[in-house]
Amino acid sequence: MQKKRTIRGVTARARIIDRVGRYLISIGGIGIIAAVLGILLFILFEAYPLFRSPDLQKAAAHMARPALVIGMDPYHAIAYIASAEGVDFMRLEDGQIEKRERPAALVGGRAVSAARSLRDGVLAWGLDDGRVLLSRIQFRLDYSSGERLVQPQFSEGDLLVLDARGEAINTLAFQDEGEGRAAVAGISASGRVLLTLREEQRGLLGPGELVEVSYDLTADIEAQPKSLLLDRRLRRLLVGMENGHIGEWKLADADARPQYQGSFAASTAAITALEHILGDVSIIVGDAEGRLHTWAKVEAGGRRSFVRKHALRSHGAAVEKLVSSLRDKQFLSADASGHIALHHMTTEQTFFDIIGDGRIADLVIAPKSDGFVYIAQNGQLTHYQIDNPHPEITLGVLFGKVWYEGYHEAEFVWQSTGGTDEFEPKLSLIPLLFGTVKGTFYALLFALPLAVMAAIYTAEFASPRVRGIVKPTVEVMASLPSVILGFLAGLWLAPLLETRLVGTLLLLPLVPVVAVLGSWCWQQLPADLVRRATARWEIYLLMGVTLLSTWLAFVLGPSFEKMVFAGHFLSWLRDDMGMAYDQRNSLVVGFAMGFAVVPLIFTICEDSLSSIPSHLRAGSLALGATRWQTAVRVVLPMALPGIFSASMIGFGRAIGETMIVLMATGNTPVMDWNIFNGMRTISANIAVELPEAPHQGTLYRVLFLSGLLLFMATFAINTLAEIVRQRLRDRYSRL
Amino acid sequence: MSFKFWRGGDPFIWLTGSALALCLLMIAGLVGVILYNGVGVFWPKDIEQLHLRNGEVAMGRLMDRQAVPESAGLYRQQFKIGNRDAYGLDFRWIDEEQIVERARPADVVVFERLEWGDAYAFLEGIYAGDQRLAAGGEQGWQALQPLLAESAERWQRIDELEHDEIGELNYSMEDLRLEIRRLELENASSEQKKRVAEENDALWRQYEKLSERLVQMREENERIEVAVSLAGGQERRIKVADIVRAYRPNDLGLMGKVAVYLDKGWEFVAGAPRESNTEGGIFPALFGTVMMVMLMSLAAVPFGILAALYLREYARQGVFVRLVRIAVNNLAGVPSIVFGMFGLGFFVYGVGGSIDRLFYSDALPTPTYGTGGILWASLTLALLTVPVVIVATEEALAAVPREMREGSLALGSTKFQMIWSVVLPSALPGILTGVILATARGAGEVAPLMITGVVKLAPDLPLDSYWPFFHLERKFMHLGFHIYDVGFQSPNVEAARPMVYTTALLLLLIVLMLNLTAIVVRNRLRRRYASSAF
Repeated sequence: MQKKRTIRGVTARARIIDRVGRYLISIGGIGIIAAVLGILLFILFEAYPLFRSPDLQKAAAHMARPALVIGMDPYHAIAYIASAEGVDFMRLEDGQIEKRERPAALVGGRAVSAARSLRDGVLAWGLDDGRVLLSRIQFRLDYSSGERLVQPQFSEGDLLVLDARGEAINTLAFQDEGEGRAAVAGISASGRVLLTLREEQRGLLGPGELVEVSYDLTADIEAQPKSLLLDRRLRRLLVGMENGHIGEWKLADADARPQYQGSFAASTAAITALEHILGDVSIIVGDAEGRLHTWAKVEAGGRRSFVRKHALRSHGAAVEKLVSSLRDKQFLSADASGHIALHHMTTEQTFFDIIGDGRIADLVIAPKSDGFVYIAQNGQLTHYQIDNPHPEITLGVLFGKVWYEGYHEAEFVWQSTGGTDEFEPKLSLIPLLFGTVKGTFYALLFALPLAVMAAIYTAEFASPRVRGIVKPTVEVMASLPSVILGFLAGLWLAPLLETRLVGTLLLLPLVPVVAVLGSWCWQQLPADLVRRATARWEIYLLMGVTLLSTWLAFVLGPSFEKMVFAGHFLSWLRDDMGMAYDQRNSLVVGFAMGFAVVPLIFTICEDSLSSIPSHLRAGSLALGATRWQTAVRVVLPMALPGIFSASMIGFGRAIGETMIVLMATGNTPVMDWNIFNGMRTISANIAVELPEAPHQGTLYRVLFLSGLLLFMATFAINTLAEIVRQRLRDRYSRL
Repeated sequence: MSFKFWRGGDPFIWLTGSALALCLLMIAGLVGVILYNGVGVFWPKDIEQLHLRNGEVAMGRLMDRQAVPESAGLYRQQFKIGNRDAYGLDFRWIDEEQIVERARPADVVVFERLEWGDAYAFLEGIYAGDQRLAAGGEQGWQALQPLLAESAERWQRIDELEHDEIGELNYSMEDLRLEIRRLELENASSEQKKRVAEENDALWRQYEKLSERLVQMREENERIEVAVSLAGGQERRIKVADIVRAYRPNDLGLMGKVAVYLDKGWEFVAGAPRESNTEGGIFPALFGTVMMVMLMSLAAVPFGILAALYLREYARQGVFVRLVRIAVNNLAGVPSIVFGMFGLGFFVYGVGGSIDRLFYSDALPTPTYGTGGILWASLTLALLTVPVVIVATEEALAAVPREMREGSLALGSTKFQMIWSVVLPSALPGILTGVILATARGAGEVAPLMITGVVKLAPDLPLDSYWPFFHLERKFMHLGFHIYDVGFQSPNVEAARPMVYTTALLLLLIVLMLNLTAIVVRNRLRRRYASSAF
């Protein structure tokens, strides 16, 4: 009785342990497998927001007074509304007017036009008597109460005369260069183009002198002016005209009359709106028929002239207002029928098109491009929030040619960072994909024949003793850290190769030729000796012969170079072939990465060759075939899928190799098959740029996308190889 | 060469064989290059004094010899001339025909310094300010020895002061700073604030006292100088405190050279880096590598084995398991940089960021766990190696003969008992092999670390005497990254190269050792199966 209970107790405990163990192992196992597979999902989710469509949300709508121009602060707290008699500051949240300013010069509503620059907070009014009032608006941040309070500040500036004849200024443009230079341009009621330049001329002694000169430029142009544009650096004035032409003046010092450069036909309809894209390189042109294009100066035949670069979605009515973003290449456009649209220049996208409350008096895009405010002619002010964190990314940008500013034509470019705030990241993945394929190609070109031939020899011809040494040696080779290979390639091989290039290239024909010659000599020896010695000595002989050919190649190299390439291969390459030679080039990468890939391919090849049933070999040999015939006609065809799968796995490894490429190439994203050039691969690019990429920024997500591509490519390749290998295994088991 | 010769295929056999020979030669060549360049770095080679045709005298160690480009039969030699502060360069090429006379004066001294690399010079005297303590030559050399020992001792004391006492102070001050911040955030009473402020003042006073003492000791340390003359006769002064090691290579016998070699070798393995990692030791990198590999194995091995056990023993074998198996198998082939990317996005920004917001909000915006660190790097590498462990373990489990399982079950054991006491023990060597190979792969991997927490110079080790001892959020150094950084990012690549070779040698040795262990373990396993009766 006693005994039985113990047994039952033991089994009960064993059962509990069994159950607990089962659960633990199952949960742990499923968990770890899920976690490992979750990697793919995570990377996918990090890259996905690049392609999300923008989110537009109406935040507020208030009644205000009819406006000439409006503006806003970076935090969407306050909008200012400049009207004929002054400026009101309105809290966007509740429509309360926080502050009113009524400059003395505007009393009685004398302003007929206004212009603003959000970047440096300038607001200018054009008066009905030809004068212009300047003022400055700034937003102070106050954290003293624990919350962020935005406080608007207004300061009145000078009053200057734009039109000496005293006509009303109907259209106004203003720019301040920042170093004492400023310009005001206007179109008067009778259609005259006027420009006032001011400049603080610094004397050698004493305080600077303020020079202010006005010019009437009307005589230069051939048609009615409709719109004006001044650039930030005060280099040019553009005027859009009734006949669809745009006239250009070159601005110089204040006391020199601006030179008219002539005009170019930008459209067939009147140019109703002009605006610069961030950086002031490209201009946006909107015409009376609603068409929107961007133009930029491109050098052609020694002359820089305006060329039409991008076409945006057209409006149904005349384009009246254009406002560009302060942080990227986006801009808003509004037309006479009250439509408002947001565009991105480089990608030629239009994100949305909404209808406002009738004709738009003015609109402004938030300084961080995360919202906009518009005011209708009737004084209805509306505030929108935009959630569009990656406007510059489309599939076309990532994989197509894009015509960036400063380029002659559309190109594939990867350049993620630049020196200025106005820099536009150029994120084409094509150069990186190209670099990856190029590196992999040269690595496999080197590794594939070497590994496959070595595997054939090891599996078919080598003695078991040799095989017993070779396999573990090659496995050790497989585990060499790639950082060591990369370091040797970059610091030892690359300089060596530069001096011994011809010798190294000579190895290519020399090794096989010497091997064949050696074999012939070997055959001339007494057959009995050959038969006895082959098993034991062949590998040493082969090593000797290979060493011999290596030695020969390096000895012959210089004299060969002298004979064929007139003494110096590199200068021949440069002068006669026009090919550049980088010290760290694809040849070096091919060697080093090939070195990393050889053991992988070798092992799998050798496995699939040696697992072919030996009775097939025996049969072939018994029928009188030689060793080589047996290997090539019987064994090799059967092992072909295995060799294929080995090369796929080698390919997968080479695609993702990072350290070797990082260290053995110059990492320049060029697109050129030249073997003496470098490249930049996806993996090296991630390693170089990811640490610097702001979390969840565009670059960060694009890098994740490139990583996803890498992941999927290797996954697909490996799966293919695995399936082929499993099929092969099934086939062998049936033999 | 006849038709028969080609037809029989023997030349082709030789062709394939020469491919194999080439592979083997490449391996031998690679290991040879690293050995050749890495082993000799610390050997105190003789210093040669060269009289040149133009009357110049140069002094240095012969490094290399090569043909002068575009000349017939002329050679030039590369010398390491040291004295970077005087010449601006470490190396110089001298044409052989320029050399009139070569000598090896016995009294040339090599001063290894804290700054500016080595100085090769003749000892001219020892001074304290203007006061001459000893003459040059042999007398000065004898007088220098106790001074060097003294200086080393003083350095050690300074080090103790800096690290232990001031380090501890800094630690408490940082704690206090965080407390102040917390009090501010919590709107604590003024009394509490006052108490903390007083405490802070007390610490500051203590700190000032200590730093004063430190300054004093440093001044004392800098008092004594050695006057030397360079090869060209220029006079220079070297502070004794700046001298790490001084020896006269031309005067040393074989044993003496071996002693210097071993001393430098020990410094390399156990010392801290100097001169932006181009001199001194690599102990922090070695320590970081070992610690990271250990953390990685701790995370990867148990989970890997668990997953393999589930896949092989518990899961119902079907299409799904087959798919999972292929997927896991393929993950082993996914580029390591992709894992690094995942580690950065998920561990560092995701998990680390959340930990910071929850537990370290008083230290924000300075991230604690929300930036790369040894924990995240180890976990990333663990993910990378888990598939390797799973695959190897599965293979080992599959190799356990069915009869053994059936025997165990027939004797009445439960499934878990069968796995625990029959399957696992006999699969253990196989699992071990897989684990070691996975570890070797992890030890050599660098790319994912570069984005998850490795740095060129980490001020503190991730393990020290302050609570909680393991500082898993700290950044760390790694041998592999050290190679990349010193070899490719250092301002003076030429001077750093020897260091890179020795570091590579060390890493190679570690990885090879792990691999050889795996091979030995596997061979034992095979023997055991061969001898068993199944």
